[in-house]
Amino acid sequence: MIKIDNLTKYFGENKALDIKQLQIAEGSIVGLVGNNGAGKTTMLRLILDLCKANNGTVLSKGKDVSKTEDWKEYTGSFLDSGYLIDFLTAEEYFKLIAELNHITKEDMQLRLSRFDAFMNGEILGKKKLIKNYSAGNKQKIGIVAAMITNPKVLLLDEPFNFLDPSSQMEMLRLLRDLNKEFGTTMILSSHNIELVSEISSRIILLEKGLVKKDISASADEAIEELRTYFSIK
Amino acid sequence: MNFNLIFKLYKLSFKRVILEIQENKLAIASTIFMYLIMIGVLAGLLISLSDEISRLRDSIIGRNDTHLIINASLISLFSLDFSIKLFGKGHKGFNVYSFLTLPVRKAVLVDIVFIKECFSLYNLILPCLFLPFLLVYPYAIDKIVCYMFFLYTISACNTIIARIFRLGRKRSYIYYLYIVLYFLLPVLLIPIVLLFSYAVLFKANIYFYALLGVFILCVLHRIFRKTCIRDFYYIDE
Repeated sequence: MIKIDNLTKYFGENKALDIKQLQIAEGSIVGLVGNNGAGKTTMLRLILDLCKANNGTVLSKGKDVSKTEDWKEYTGSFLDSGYLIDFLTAEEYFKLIAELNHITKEDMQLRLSRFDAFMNGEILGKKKLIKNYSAGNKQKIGIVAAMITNPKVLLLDEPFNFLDPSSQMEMLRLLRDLNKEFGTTMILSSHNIELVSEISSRIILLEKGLVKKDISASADEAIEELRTYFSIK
Repeated sequence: MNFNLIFKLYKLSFKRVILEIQENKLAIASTIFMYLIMIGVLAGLLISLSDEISRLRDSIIGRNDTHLIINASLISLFSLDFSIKLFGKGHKGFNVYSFLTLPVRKAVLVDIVFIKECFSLYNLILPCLFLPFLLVYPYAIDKIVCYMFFLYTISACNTIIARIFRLGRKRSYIYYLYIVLYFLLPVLLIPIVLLFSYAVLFKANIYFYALLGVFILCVLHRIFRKTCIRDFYYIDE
């Protein structure tokens, strides 16, 4: 589904990312872990063509993401609240997402109802602009907007940040359902190794832009391996 | 369809951020101050063209050539206008980067920004400042309209180039655009002076200048589109 070839990205003199080869299979859930500055967000941004690689390519369904914009039709993402259109209300934002993705009003209502527990009555019907929501609720709006289109590829950066424990558990359930029902390929970056290991079938550990470990194991084994790695450091 | 949708959002963003803009008194004050300087320069120019001073100047330097003076002042005024647009507090409501992860093509975003910048009311300020000159001196209305339209297109170019500077990641090309425009300006203005002097040629050619303004905008649109799409990446890289 996603193929990375000789991808490098520099910020000034600093090498932020250097991935020789990486393939992410269709329908897999991949967790990206690593310390600050490991290159997780940079990798997601390069996959989303939000920054220009110094070298290499990212292919989504075999097409270079920097050469075509077709991937936008089947890719959902949320990196941070800066990507939200914050002068809209949550309802207006979801309506925009529906219109851009050719989803009818009725269908959108149905899809939104799937997220009722996740939104916990704090998002819809509040009649306030997105910029006036709390960080946690902005996070929820972004995640719902990314998932509501039932994308074939979903990229989330630190999705568990700002969320209360109930919302984190609810989000795990929603992600599993989406993957099961629509075969969505997911890449989730997170510092929370327990949550990300629980949901992911594969964990990629980045360190200073390099892939240090590529773990395909059960959640417990992955957590153990990651704990060992980070405690040694 | 996406174009109309995003265009509506752009308009909505202006309505929704108006309060924020009003709160930012410092930015407004600095912009007004810059435009006051511009008006001051023009007022000085108007006074210098008054009968008494004109007579005095004519006695010293010869024939009163109003258009030469008006056009000579344009480059400095356009430069000042460009500086205000480049360094002034821009409209932050419509953040095009928010759309980069949505299924909206970069070309659509770039076109919308271009169109909105072309029709920005800020572009009217500079041509309107010249209105007193054009009304004081007895020119035909079509000449005034065409001349003001030309001024408007140059002002729009300023806005667009300033916007490209803010949008693009690789900004080196903006300097080339700036240089091209400002080298082009005297080349365009000198014939205008000549045309004012030779009334026979003037009438036909002032329309040409209005069309030339449109042509410049079209060329700028092609450059703007190509460069912005190529370098349209999230800004905080």
